[in-house]
Amino acid sequence: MKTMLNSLTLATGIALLFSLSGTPDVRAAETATNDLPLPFPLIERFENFHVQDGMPTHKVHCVLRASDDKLWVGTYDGALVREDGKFRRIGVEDGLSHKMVLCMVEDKRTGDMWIGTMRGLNRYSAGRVTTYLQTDSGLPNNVIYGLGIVDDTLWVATAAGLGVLNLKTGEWTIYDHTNTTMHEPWVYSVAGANGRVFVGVWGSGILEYDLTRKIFTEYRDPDRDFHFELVHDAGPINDVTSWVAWDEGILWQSTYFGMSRYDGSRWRTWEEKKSPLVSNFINFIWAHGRVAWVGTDRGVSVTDGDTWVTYRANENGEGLAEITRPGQPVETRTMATKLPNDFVLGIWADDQEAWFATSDGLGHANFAASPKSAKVATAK
Amino acid sequence: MKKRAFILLLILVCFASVALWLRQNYWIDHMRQMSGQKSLANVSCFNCHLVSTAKLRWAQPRPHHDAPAGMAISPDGKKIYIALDDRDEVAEADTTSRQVLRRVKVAGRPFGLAIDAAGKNLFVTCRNTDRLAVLDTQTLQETGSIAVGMAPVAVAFCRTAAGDRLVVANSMSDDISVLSVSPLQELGRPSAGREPFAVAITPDGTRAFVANRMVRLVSVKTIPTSEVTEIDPMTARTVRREALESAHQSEGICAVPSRSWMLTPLVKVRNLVPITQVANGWVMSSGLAITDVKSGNVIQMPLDEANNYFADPSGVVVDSSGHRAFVASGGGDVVTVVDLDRMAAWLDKADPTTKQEAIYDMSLSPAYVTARIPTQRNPHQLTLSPDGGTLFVAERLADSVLVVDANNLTEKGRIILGDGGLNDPIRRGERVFTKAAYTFQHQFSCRSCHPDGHVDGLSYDFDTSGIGDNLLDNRSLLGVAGTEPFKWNGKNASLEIQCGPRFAKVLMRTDPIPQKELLDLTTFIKSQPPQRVTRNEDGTLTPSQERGKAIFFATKTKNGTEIPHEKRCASCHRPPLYSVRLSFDVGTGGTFDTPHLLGVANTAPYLHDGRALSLEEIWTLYSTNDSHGVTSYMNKIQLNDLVEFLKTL
Amino acid sequence: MKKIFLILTGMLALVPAGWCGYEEKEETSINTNFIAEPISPQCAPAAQAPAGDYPYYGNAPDELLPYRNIKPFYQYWLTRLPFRGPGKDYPDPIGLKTLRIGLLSPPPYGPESVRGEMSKKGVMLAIEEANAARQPSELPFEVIEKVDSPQWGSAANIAVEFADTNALAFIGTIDGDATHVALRATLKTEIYMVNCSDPDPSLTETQIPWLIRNFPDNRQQGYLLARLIVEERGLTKIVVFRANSRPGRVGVRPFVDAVRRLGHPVLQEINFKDGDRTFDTQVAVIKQANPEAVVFWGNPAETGPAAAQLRAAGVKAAFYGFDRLVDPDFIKLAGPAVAEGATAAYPFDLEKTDPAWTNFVARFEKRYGMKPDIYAGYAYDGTQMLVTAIKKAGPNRYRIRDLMAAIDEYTGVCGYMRFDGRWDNIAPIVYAQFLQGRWHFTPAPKLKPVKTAAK
Repeated sequence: MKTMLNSLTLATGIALLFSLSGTPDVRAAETATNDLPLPFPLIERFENFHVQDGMPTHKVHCVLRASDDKLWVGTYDGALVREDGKFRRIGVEDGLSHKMVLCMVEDKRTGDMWIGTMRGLNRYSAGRVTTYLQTDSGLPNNVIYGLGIVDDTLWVATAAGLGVLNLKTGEWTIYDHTNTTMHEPWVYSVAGANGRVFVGVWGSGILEYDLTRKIFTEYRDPDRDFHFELVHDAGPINDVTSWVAWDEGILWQSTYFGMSRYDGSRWRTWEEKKSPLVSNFINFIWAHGRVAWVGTDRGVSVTDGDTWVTYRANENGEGLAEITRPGQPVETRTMATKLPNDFVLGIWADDQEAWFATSDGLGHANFAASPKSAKVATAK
Repeated sequence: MKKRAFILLLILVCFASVALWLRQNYWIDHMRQMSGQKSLANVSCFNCHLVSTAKLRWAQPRPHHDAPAGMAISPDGKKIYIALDDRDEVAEADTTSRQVLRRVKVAGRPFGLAIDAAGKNLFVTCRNTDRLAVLDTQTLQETGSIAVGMAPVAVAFCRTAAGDRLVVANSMSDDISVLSVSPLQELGRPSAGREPFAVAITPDGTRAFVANRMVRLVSVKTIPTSEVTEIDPMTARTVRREALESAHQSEGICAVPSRSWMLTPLVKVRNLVPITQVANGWVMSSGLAITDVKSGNVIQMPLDEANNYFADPSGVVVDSSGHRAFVASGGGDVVTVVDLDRMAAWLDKADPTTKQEAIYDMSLSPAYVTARIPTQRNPHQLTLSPDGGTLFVAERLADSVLVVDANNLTEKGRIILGDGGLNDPIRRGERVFTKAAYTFQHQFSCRSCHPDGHVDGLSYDFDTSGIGDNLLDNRSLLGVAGTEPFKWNGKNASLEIQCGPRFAKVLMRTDPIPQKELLDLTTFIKSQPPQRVTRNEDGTLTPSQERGKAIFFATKTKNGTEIPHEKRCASCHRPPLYSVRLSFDVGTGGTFDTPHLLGVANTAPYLHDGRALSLEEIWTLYSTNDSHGVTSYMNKIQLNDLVEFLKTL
Repeated sequence: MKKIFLILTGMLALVPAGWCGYEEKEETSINTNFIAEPISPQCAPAAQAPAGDYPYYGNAPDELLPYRNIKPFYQYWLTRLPFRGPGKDYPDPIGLKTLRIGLLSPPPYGPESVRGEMSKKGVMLAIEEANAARQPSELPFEVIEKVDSPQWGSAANIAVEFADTNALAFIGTIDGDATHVALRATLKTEIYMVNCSDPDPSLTETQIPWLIRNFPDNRQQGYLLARLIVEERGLTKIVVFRANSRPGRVGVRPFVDAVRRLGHPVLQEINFKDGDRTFDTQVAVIKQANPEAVVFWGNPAETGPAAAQLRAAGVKAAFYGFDRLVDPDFIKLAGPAVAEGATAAYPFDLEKTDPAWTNFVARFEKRYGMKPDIYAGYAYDGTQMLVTAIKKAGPNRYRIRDLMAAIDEYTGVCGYMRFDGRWDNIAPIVYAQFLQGRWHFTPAPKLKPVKTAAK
């Protein structure tokens, strides 16, 4: 296959933005040859963007496709916006409160992008950056791990509590260990659901906030012990929640001890060695339809809970796709392309494509056109 | 008789003795302790006791006037609708006869008006009730209402591919409500700049531009910028934000059909140079920002003359052909006529640097300002008939609308709404307050820094040293009655002194305001109530505000430790004014007058030099070692509660 | 009923994992056991290399393990969690003038300030010695000290500031809350953290491979106290009297669990607030329980008066506590008579006479004019470990992490240390008893098999 040259164009001007043109290194595309259909698309090839391709840093923390189709990328040194195939950087010099961008969420009604950094919250609105710090606003803490928008409220997961900003009144409400069932105030992520908000708390499992009744319900690891998963499928796998995601009635929890799924009545849990989960150390989980994309320190998995496909590199550095179907042996395929790095920190995916933020670059996955790889499973 | 007198004298002596004894042994100590002042020279019992806001001028009933605010003309040009916010009314007048036909009550201080393309519905923003009302133009009856952001002041109607839209500028919640007309519902509420005040739609209906009155909150020693916010009215999404550098007080905006321009009047302000340099010119001047709708580039053009200024530009309209713009000068009592063709010709010839520096060239305006139409007091909003032939000028403090032939610029007459209110000292005072004639070369009026009596969010250097390093935060005049002394150093014992000869010498650089006008002026200022705040309609507090109230009045920390009297919030910010009107050192580099807290939520920045950009920063950044009250015991939830309570005052 | 439920659930757990539709992976197919960790740094000579795996986190005795009668579905921490991210081959930063190490100190006016000062002295002495001994070609070490503030989450902000100042690693802190939030941030900033003073047992439980702790934590102290009180001294009516704080809550948890597993759950767990000086209500409640042992967790400012008031109220229970009981202020505030016989778990004998310790004491006294305590000692050792790793790895945070994470054993001025699967020092500790005006240190009793209530 052809190799396309990358060309890095440094933009001049006071904005100190850089732009990137061209496409990254793409090797031979693959053709999926699978006898059995999968309940989600299969990745055909990866296009990767590294430092040499214009990423400002090795570490890419998060990625998000906005409703106007622009791609937003949070890196160790600023945010990137991909417009017309070029990356534009938004950094501290543009008003961002800190260089390390950990998370982002779009207010789809206004197009504003809320950007969580390791020192403050930012609202990027049509080029204007407004910052919120714990010293100048009601923000609980400057270290922001996760963001979510539900109706007129912005939910901010911080190192010292959950902050909720009413976008109409500007009022902040803080939930932490002093006014909720939260045992610890170290909040990691939030996921909006129908009339509810799920909050992933480091050390307190998952809290569910009922927006109508304005009460919290907690989901905790039933054995309450970090040594063991005593019984599987009995509840959240662990109280140390690294991320939560929700879509179509399915809640997914990732931890550094494995992962869990809750459909409103039944919990399921997965651990490495006991399931196709490639690693217990999970940084991020992304829900799309009834499928979860799982970002671990050993690659990325996609699953509907029964069928799994894991993309990672083997010991020789070759890309692998490991397909696990219930009751079937693992089918391993080598790929000509692979993730930019197996340490996956963030994911965005829909029916057409997936993007991966990793510890060494940004990855773009093109799905196979094979009719055997169906669209994402959706609720009946 | 003698005996009775003796007994009376004895009783008096006893009382006097007891009083003296109390004074020596109790009252002096009490006053020292409670006031925190070493010297009691300026302290009386009334600093803490017998204070009631009910007796203050702003709490008394006052006359209401027929001041015209927003205007809208029917598509056929026959009717003009005029919002009379002080009356809670909307008036309908015949544009030809200039007679008022009907007046209808609309509750909540109707301010901004717009009319739909068919002329069937009149849309009214109600500034005090945070809603948009819909009036049927046939009946003038209210047919609909919807909640919008806080203090909506302007509305524009437009047609989009997805249906009719209304764009509302919410001046106190700093956002924009985008509404669909049918059904009447809010589609989104994008954020604006600070204090959005005017809305204009591009001729093709694809963009709405919103002018913002106040500058963005930035560090006090940073050049301030205000903003023109550009949104897509169809989707309610923000598209672009143009910065107006070193400019503010934009109260109008208008599209230029043929040129793809958007015009925004502005006050060019140089708050970082000593304001005492008024005599050197253009500390404040008027200008017109031209925003290129396609590129978003902005050029600011001056409207004043080198030795004659036309302060407080507000309303702007452009004729349908796009050849001329009209700009109202509220402080100068004129409407400036700008020949846009000449202005465009100048711009075509100018190089980029010259264009960027144009606003500083006070000799430029004769090149494109072709006329100044005199008006009665305080022209504010402007509108043109659909055919562009007639200009309507709301003469806000004359209770009239001037009607001008837009072609030959001759006066056609007036729509008389009221008598001008000259028997009312408050109204007379407002006329003084908004008049630029009292300042050197008419550069500014009181209103230039205190729009609607409030603040412009800037800090100014009042030091005569001329260095410009002694910035002082501009304080609101709303609710100041009874809070004397004035100035941050607390040296002016009354408003009459504050606004009197010394002020003229230092700031206005001209003769003092004559005594009679000065008294009217101070009467007007004293009649201004505190800024509106967000509270539950029934006056109750939310749980967070209740908790904050308990913190505000706390005498002990959460672990039971006694808070020293002088370190309690309520000791210095004592109700009902939330100020004991004495000076204290709160660790900011000196002793400063204690500001009242009524309406404090909307007076950012804070502290004497405006160093705190938010209420939180007062304690998180600038209260080292509990220098501004004992607050270090609070966690973040408690601090938020305290702030939420302060927002209700 | 509860036991039956546990047994049933345990049986469920024993159902072969294949039931859920997957073939269980073979152990060998997962390359997690021994990742490419670098060899151990050149530390002080270790006694003997450990076996290589880490069967029990926290050196927990069999009989004190949770759910010990049930085979769990999944067991964690049998191996060390690797860090699989990139970075080890990143080029060194250019233009470095110093090798920066962060020091996260407790708030200067808080309850941990004294311990923080001693810890800082230990760090600074180690750095001064390292700089004095450096070769001309080596860069000097520089300590960037940041002081925590008593607000939740401040330490997280400081951890970010360390990243902003290009610190290669940082040391701290004492307060469990602060350490936790700082540790969270290290996952994102990827800066290694050395803890020399936080006793919070949950600190190392959260699977973050960017931390080592050489301070014997409350888990080990709790196990020692549990066995001492129940098995050696035969006391079964136990009350816990602790600070009403997160460190207090999680600090006593292993002890409370342990005595329950030994068949004697605590009668009461009573709290006090930092700053309390009178404990009338708590004393009345404890007196009513008529305990044989009262176990304190807290600072001497509170535990001293509390002990005195318990005695004055007629509570005859023996007093026990965690390491903070071994403090002159406790004796002073409780009074020697009340303190007589009080026993506490403690990291090591402060009066030990091995050359490493006595030389350190001499150097410390020469530098600061005072004797070091355990906080100074562990801070010195922790800094030495870090300095050694930095010297070997160079200014690369990832290589520094790998070297630190590979440490199984270390012998420093505080003695021998052995690190478990979560990088906790599980070397045997001692207990101290106050008798006749001074603390007497005794090695932990030789553990013997016991019959527990559950058995």
